[in-house]
Amino acid sequence: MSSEANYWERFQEQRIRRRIFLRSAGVTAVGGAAVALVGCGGGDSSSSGTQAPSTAKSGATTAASATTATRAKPAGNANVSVATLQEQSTSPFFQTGGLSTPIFLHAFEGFYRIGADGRPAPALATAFEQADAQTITFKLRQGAKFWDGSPVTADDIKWSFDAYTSQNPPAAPSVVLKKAVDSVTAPDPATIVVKFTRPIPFQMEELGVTGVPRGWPVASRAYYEKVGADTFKQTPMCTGPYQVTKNSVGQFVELQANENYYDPARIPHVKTIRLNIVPEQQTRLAQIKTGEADVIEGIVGPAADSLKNESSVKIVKTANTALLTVRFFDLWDANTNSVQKDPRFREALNIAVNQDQVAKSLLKMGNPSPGVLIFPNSSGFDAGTLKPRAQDVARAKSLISQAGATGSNFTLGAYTSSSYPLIPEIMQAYSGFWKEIGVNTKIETKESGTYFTEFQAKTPRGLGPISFPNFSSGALLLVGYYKTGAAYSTTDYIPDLQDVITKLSAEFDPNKQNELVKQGLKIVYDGFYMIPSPFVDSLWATGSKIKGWDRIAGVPYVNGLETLTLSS
Amino acid sequence: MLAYVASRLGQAAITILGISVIVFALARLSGDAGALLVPPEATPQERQDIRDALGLDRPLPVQYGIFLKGVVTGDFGKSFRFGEPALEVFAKRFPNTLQLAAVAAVVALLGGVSVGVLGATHAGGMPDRVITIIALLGQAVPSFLIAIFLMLIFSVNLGWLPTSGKHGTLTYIMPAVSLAWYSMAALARMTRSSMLDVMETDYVRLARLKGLPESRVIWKHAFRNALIPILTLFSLQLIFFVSGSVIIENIFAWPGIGQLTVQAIFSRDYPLVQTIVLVTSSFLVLLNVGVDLLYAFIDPRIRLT
Repeated sequence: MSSEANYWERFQEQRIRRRIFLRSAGVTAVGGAAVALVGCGGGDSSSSGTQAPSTAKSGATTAASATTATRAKPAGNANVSVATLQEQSTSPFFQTGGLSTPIFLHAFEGFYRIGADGRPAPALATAFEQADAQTITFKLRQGAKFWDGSPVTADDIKWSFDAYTSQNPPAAPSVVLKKAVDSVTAPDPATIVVKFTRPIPFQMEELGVTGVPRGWPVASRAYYEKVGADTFKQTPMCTGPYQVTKNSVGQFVELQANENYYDPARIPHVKTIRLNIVPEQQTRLAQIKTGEADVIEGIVGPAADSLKNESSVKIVKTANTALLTVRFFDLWDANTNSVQKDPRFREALNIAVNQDQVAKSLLKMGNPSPGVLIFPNSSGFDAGTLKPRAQDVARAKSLISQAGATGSNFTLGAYTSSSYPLIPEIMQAYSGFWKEIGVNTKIETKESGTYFTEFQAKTPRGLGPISFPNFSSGALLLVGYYKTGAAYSTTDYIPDLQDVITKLSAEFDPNKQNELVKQGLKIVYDGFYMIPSPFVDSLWATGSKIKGWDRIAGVPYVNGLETLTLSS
Repeated sequence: MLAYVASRLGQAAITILGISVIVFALARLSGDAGALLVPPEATPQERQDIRDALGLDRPLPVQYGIFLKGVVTGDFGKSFRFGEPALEVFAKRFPNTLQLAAVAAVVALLGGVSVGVLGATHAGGMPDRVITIIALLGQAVPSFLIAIFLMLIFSVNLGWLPTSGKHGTLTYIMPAVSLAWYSMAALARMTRSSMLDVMETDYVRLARLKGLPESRVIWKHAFRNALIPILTLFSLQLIFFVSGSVIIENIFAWPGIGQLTVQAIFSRDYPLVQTIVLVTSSFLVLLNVGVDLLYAFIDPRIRLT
């Protein structure tokens, strides 16, 4: 930490010599080079004249949405069954995590939102400028309105910051934001200047505000003062393409199309959407069969088979929404002579597994991954370097023998996850692969909360998996998950990697950041520091009422409902 | 009687205090709430900031003291996940659980008693054999399986009932029957055996000899005397209707405390877990105290022992 602090001191002394002016086009282009842009992407470009064109990617969408020119007024309704909405908060100032995505991605916005490619896209700001390491200036969108038609003002944005960061108890990201932000000022009605208490190399993405890659959720101050906190929490006043109109605890949240949305291409097709909470997968499957639900989420691969004979039901997927890697926990212990420190052993365990078989026979979906925590749509991902490795049992056996690890025994952790299916079953399969090369494992399955707590405390030893939902920023992945001391890092002691991460944390140019990401990932890939499991997809079933639906690349939760179109 | 009441209430208070210690300790032993609230990429300092903000950095005895003091004043703290007073979050859901429990209790009582009496009055016959098999199955087959079967038959295949949710009378049927299934079977067996014992007694024989109608013999003379063990079993089953709702509520998307409990436990929402367990336990402890007092009122020998 001290060397990092010194680095920042030097950085501050030097100041930034060249101004980094990042227009939305530039930022989006970084992500767009590798990822999908789905149907409603036109909305982004219509809002920013400098938006870089992006290319469509197959498999990310079901059907193209109508263009702006042909878009009719919102009409009809749809029932969407989700496994959970977590705390089911409809307050923009109390959003705690991914499971409430179906609410916040449709209703709430900040300066930037999550674009169709998974990278930040302009929302209430059209551009931003980072004049120095600790100052970002946002140019506000003119003509943006709240659901009630009142204009979004700089005062609303400043007030929203105060409201968001003064909740009690706080939403976790607001604590981080509050500590990182020194001041929010509005030098003129079209500009917001945010000064930070520390350097912000990733233009606020590193602050992790739920659903808002840059900024914080913005709501109407006048409305809040008129209706009071209690009503506001249930039916707030924000700017997203859908307005929250009803929140029935434990049952559903109802959304109504915002016909005044500033981007005509994102005005919803469906007027009313009800997000019904149905925790049990079997019940959701029954609902899609009976027509009670028009869209259901969270279908684990094998369950999709049960819908094959339903002519009115279609399975749609978003690719690569989660990844599982098995980690070498003994690497945490600097004093041990564990064979896990021998690259031959790590390589053997890597190439002993047959990812194709796991994907086809067990998961019934997904594709092999390279054994590095990164996604194909993440910035900095290089498919040429990070190729999935094929199974090679003979070489694995030979490597185990050379490493003197034949007959070695390890504990293999397991848990169940909401983001990655069948982890205990996959670990059972891996245990079999490794037994074949002479490495014995004893599986210990734990409740996920306990498993994560122990993982963060770095107390387990042996081997164990960890799953991640899709993450579109390679730079943040590296800093957040590979850095020494990071909660889910098992690569703490690799000096070359830490050196890359230190450079990355001080680099403000996205292109140079991507180069550093590539360097860092190659170190992990070449060193066999993680054992791969397939990238998995998120599967949804849609009923006969649904004609088309475009979703954000990589997001495993229900999203993009503004693109939902109904059969005539 | 007053001393007996005071004694039972005192015991109940000690039990509830004990529960408060256990739930407080178990919630914290099972994992770190702060670790689960922050995004995985949060730095150690950011995780510590959250713990500080939520008061989780304080010593455990201090946290328990704050919790207990709050409970006495009706303040159970704010839910980490919901950001609202935990008691309010609980209170929004608990009536739904109680409604389902009440319907399930009625279904179990009426169903179990009717079937049990039918079995006893046709002992050894075909109806009795069928009822015995059904009762055995009822106790052997888990309620979640019954729930899935009911859904497949009545929602997916026949289309008679909605699959889930709470929106009208029809939505009560499948959750209530699933929740009542086990208790109904137990009550049927108990009713049958209790009725068979009573039917052999002299006063039932005498009633028949007097030429009373068979229905009057069964319901007025036999059933009334067979009722005490049935009611005892039923009072014990009442607890199950509340505690057993966790799985059934999840399957039928019932907006009660079942779903809430699962969410609270998995997210280590200490204030909410504590509230759910403590209030529900207190409710059930007081229910038991009520049953004890009722027994003592009916049978004075109980309060003397």
